[in-house]
Amino acid sequence: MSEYINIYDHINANVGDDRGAEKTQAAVTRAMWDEYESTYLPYLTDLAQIGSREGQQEMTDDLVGGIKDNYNNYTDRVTGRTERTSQRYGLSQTPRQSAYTERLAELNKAAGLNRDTYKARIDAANRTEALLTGGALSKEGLVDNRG
Amino acid sequence: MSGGGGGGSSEIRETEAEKALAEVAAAKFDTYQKHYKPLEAQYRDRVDDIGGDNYQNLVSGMAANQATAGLRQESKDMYQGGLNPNSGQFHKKSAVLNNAIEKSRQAGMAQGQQAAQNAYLSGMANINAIGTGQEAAAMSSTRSLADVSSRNAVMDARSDFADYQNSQANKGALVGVAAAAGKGYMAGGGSPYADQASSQYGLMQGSEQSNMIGTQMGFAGGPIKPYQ
Repeated sequence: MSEYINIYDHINANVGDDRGAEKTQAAVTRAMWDEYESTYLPYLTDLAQIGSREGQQEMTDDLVGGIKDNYNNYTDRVTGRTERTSQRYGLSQTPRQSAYTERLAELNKAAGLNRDTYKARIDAANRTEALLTGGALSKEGLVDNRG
Repeated sequence: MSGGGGGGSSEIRETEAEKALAEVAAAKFDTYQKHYKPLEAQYRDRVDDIGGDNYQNLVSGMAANQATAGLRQESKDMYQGGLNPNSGQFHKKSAVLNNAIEKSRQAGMAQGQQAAQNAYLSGMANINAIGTGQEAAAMSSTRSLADVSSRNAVMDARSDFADYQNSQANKGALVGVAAAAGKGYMAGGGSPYADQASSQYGLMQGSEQSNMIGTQMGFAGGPIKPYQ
């Protein structure tokens, strides 16, 4: 029900007709519920699913998976950039320097990945709490409506 | 004489007040249909977009680019600071700084993706608030999401680089004590600079690495706090 609704098409009456006010009020009430049910209830269903343990796990897994994918090219990017820096000065890295750059990149990659996934998991836990009980993410929590 | 005057209809007539309320209810519904409904539909479409991969990629890409741009300037400053490009120290700083840039980029992407997810959930919560007649909270713009994400990423990376700079500054005090150990370290093949740097330099390389990594791992094991 996303198109315009003429309420009087639903009641075949006007407010001034016999019992017209009552029929109009009833029709408006039903139309508002229909509107909510067809347009907004699906969002509540989706949000409740996302807020569930499984939904949050899925969302967190997506995020962490994305972060891991991002890190795939970490070492190549660092070694490439460092080599280009040397080339700008007319130099070329020695094999030992290249090995050092690569080793340092691998260590930093591990540490950075650890840091970013840790942050993502902590944020996901806080987000679930906010979603269910109200907080930064929602005006009202799905479960706790203390406001 | 009949006293029967009560034979009329028992039906209660609608009052003028009831009719007025019904008229207003119908008019409000009509106004909502004409003016608010299209805007709500537009907002729902926007939130649906935010839930998609394209938006996540947009925010994370912006955050990553902004994050690295800040450090690239620091990089230029460092290279123009009179450091001899032929020195081992130059190469070493270059490798460390490029790691900081890359970590900044990665953190920017991660935080951008996270911010996009949060914006999506926030939008969903707003739609639910609208649906139940509550006031919807304002949403962050795409640009501000990326800005915040990149700022966080740059701060993380700068912190790493500052740790590195501090470890450099602390080197001098350790030289005398550590010289012998430094020789041992180089003899073990741990330093690619053994052939071009002093024993002091070779020694500190190992401790610097552990310093950098240690800082980051320390964060990972640190107290749990809300993500800013």
